[in-house]
Amino acid sequence: MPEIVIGIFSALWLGILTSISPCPLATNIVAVSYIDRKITSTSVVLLTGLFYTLGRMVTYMVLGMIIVLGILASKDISFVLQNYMNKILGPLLILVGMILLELIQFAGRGSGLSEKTQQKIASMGIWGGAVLGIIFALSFCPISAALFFLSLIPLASKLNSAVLLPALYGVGTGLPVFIFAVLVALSAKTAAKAFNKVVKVEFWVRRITGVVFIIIGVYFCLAYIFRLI
Amino acid sequence: MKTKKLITTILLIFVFASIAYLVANELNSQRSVQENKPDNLSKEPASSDLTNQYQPTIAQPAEEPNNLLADETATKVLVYYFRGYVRCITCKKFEAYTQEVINETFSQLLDDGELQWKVINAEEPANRHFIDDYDLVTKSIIISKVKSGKETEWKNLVKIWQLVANKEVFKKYIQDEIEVYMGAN
Repeated sequence: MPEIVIGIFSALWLGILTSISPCPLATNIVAVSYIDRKITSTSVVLLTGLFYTLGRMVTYMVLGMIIVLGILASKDISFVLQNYMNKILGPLLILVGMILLELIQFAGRGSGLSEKTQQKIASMGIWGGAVLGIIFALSFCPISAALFFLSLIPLASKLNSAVLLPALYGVGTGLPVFIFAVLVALSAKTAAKAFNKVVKVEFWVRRITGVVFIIIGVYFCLAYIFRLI
Repeated sequence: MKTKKLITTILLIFVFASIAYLVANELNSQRSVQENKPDNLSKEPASSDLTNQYQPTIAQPAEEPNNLLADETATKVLVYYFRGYVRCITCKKFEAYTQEVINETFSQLLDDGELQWKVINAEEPANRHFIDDYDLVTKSIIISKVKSGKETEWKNLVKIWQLVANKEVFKKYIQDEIEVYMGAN
């Protein structure tokens, strides 16, 4: 088998390994709950999941290019991202969770939102999947740093693949979360339909998403900022 | 409505407190890095760094043997485990398994001072030079040889991530690598 084909499968597998390892579990839970927050709309779930995976893909692709092309060294990027991204993540997740729970509102004066504004917010939610993918991809934990910087980058350098292999690694890191989120959404939707409670289920799912963001955000603050966990 | 306001206030206070603590910590950290700059030339941590080092319960020499200090031509092998502030489950295994190997197989060499085992927080400002010294990208085990006070070679044991799931294989890997460095003295 040509070396590049083995490299392609290896990159994808390294990404999947990163995603299913215990260390990114907290961010994966947040991602699944975000992708599934509009549980009644399969297309929104699919698009958000797709954008989340694309966000991760582009991030690792850019990082891979920066390192393989020799613009910056792995060590310069790795410790900075591990150190700062996880610290920023805590307050950020809490604030987003508060927005999702409507504890903080950006709506203008007057009661209720117009249909146009609501549509705008819904489409922002899909793009939000990509933003979440980028932020979570940059939040390296020890095992993802090891798999990316110590396994994938040497492989990409060896095969002279600054774009393809890091991009496939990114797809691999997003795929399990995407598939799991879609399965959860489909089964929840089917169950909700069977019990004729679709509207109610969506109401609670959206709130659960906000609560998940806040809980994981508090966890990140306690672990990475206050170093209490 | 009151509960909603209360939760919002508590969460906002927590967010602002976190940001303030983070900024204060970073500023302190930057200051420490500046203060420690002259020490960066040396790979050995400053004596004050010893407080950051894990003190193994069984096989850590209490002090450097005098005969080794006197002999400037002595060769030493150092095994470093570089950790960060946050200690994940896998990272704790690296440290525990390596500690076990050293206790079980190399305790005599440790007592004689021919082998040294150091656990260092690479994120501490005074220790950040190790990131550059050994091209560290994450938690790592580095094995280093020092001859006549100068480091002659070192190796990052990168396979630890692949082998950590199997304790015995992991320990064998660490043992073999240490033996290679000890054997070639």
